[in-house]
Amino acid sequence: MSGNDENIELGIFGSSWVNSALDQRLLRLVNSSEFSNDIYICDNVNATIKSAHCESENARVTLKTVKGNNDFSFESFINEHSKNVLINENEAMIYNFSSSMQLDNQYTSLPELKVKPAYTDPQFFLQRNYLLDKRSDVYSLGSILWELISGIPPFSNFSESDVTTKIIQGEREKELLNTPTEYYEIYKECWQADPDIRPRLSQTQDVWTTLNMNHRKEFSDLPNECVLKIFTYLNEVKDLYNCLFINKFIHGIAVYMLWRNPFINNAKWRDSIILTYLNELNIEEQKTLIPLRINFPSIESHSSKYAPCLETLDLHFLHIACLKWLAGAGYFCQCGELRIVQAVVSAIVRMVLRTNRNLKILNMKVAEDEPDVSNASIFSSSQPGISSLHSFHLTLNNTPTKENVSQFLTKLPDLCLSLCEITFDFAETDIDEKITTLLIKLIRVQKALNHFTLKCRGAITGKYIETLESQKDHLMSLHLDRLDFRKISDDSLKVILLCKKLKHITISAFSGITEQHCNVFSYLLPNLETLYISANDSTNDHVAVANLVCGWHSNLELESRPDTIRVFAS
Amino acid sequence: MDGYTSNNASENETITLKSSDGIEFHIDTRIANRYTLLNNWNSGGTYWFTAFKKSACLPNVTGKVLEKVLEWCEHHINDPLPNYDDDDSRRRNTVIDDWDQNFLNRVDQDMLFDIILAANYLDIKLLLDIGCKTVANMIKGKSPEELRSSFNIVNDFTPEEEEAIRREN
Repeated sequence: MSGNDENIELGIFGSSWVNSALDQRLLRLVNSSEFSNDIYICDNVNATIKSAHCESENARVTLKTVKGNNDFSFESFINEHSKNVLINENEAMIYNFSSSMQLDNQYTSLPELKVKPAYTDPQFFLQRNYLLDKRSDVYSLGSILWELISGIPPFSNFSESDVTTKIIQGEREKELLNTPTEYYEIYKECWQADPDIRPRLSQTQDVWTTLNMNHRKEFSDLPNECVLKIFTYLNEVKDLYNCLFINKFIHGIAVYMLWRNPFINNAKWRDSIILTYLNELNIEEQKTLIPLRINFPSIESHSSKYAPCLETLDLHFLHIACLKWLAGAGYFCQCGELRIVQAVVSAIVRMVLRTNRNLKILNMKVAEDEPDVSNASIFSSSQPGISSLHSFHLTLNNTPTKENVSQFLTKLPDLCLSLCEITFDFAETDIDEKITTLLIKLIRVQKALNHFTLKCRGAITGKYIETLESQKDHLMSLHLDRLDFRKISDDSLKVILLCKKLKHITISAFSGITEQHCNVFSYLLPNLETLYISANDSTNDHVAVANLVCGWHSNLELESRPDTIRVFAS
Repeated sequence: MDGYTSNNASENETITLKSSDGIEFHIDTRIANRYTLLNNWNSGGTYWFTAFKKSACLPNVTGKVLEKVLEWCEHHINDPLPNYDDDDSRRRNTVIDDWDQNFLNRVDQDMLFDIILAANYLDIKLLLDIGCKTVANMIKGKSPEELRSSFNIVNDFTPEEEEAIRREN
């Protein structure tokens, strides 16, 4: 470590007795890199106490960092308990309760300790021929714990005979200022007069794990990823809502869970979502709405609390929520006033893209009865933006000729390169050639596309499937919906045979499948984990297909719906 | 770091795990091979592996907890290896199998949290999942007040702050 030499000059290493103690091997020097997994225990004006794992000792040890100019107490402490002390880089000392034998042997065998009443079991003074044992060690430990945090031995201002009297009368050192209650509780327990009700200490165990057994685990004791995992299993909004009020820590998690995709499931407070987001606009974003005479209710702070949680930006839901809110707030929206909706949505999207680093999913729907998609420039100019998007779902309900749609789709392959999941849902059979070229480019530029869903009846499906060759090293699941196999040659379909990682295939609502197509799927079968076949209607197509694919002998399982079959790889 | 162990271990070979409080457990190498982190120790991959071959010290897990975790591992030793690719389907599935349910119902809440911590640390995904599901099930249907008392949580909101949360949400 840098600066080490200087520390040795200035710090306790300068004092001659430490050097001689090190020479005599009364002390051991331990490098701070030896410690791992430290747990904070307590902190007051004198010292910080932690528990850590020490590699060279292969045990948990207690670690104390002395604060301020406390050399004197440090020295006396080490003098007192030298056998149990390790020195760490000039600042900390370690008290090894776990692997050293002091609790079992040393106190009882060291004659001078028997005459240190502050550390001695009161029963020793009360009963003749009382033998000190492990329970007495726990009493001594209480004194050491007190000293650890105070920096001075207990009752250090009194003569030994005075101390003996005090202790026999049941007096103990007082609670130290700024000492956490839990810590105080521990040494109080250790100092009980009746040896049998003192905590038990197993010789090899870390003192804190033994003594701290009354500490009940809380959510904040768990790593964040575990707490998040717990909350992902809470599917009811009501439960998450209740969690908002528990305490600040859980509040933060519940806010995140509720606001990562607020338009789903949150019918009860859907109306207020827009209002909440409007409150988080900054001055510039608000300025764009001033000409529209939108009143901001009560803007206390412009800090963003909820928008940064957003994971799924669903432009369709956002449009609808805006429309509803505007209508409810008295902005009567007719067709001519769609520009107001447009402006509000744009301002919110801009704000989300500016504040949010969490955005993973973008859902977009283009339809005649749908308001225009926002101007593409928002997505390319606002930072951090959508560059870290994982999923993109696009629904085209009519051939988009609108300029801003193709503008957006033109920009997209430059902005999003790390999509794992793409869904294209085309209601019409024929999609604008220009759009198709853009979307195919989007697939090609992805670094690692794992999941692809195509819902389309038209002839262009073959083109998309052929494009999957560019993702042959990455594609893991493929979902084809409403596919008209008559429009796809089995040669086009053979491209999926190149996808070595493909494990899951779903074919639903298909039509016109031939034996050649089934043959392609049957080649894939050895590598697949599931093949899910769901027919269009109550025809038996799916059974026929499954049998063709599997060559009549495989693990077929009918799902609860009779028109679906799941094929498990044998 | 020294600690290379041959992977051609026969079935009844054991490795030794030592808990933070020094209790030793002899476990079937098949258990170790199932779980990534234990497997890493087994092939000498991480620094926990001490100079003594085939033994590893777990500074974060106490004997009491390790005993439970290993009990679970032993019960599931012959299960087919689950597929971890599909995160979503695991999330949707909040059902816990009967044995696991019973196993986790028998422990107190502290132990449950300790098991979650240990499963996370040892990278035993399935145990982590069912542990988290169990805690989630304990949260379901409770009022904030009930949640505070059952999870031993102190309310650190002022009434004004609570009111603000009510307004915002």
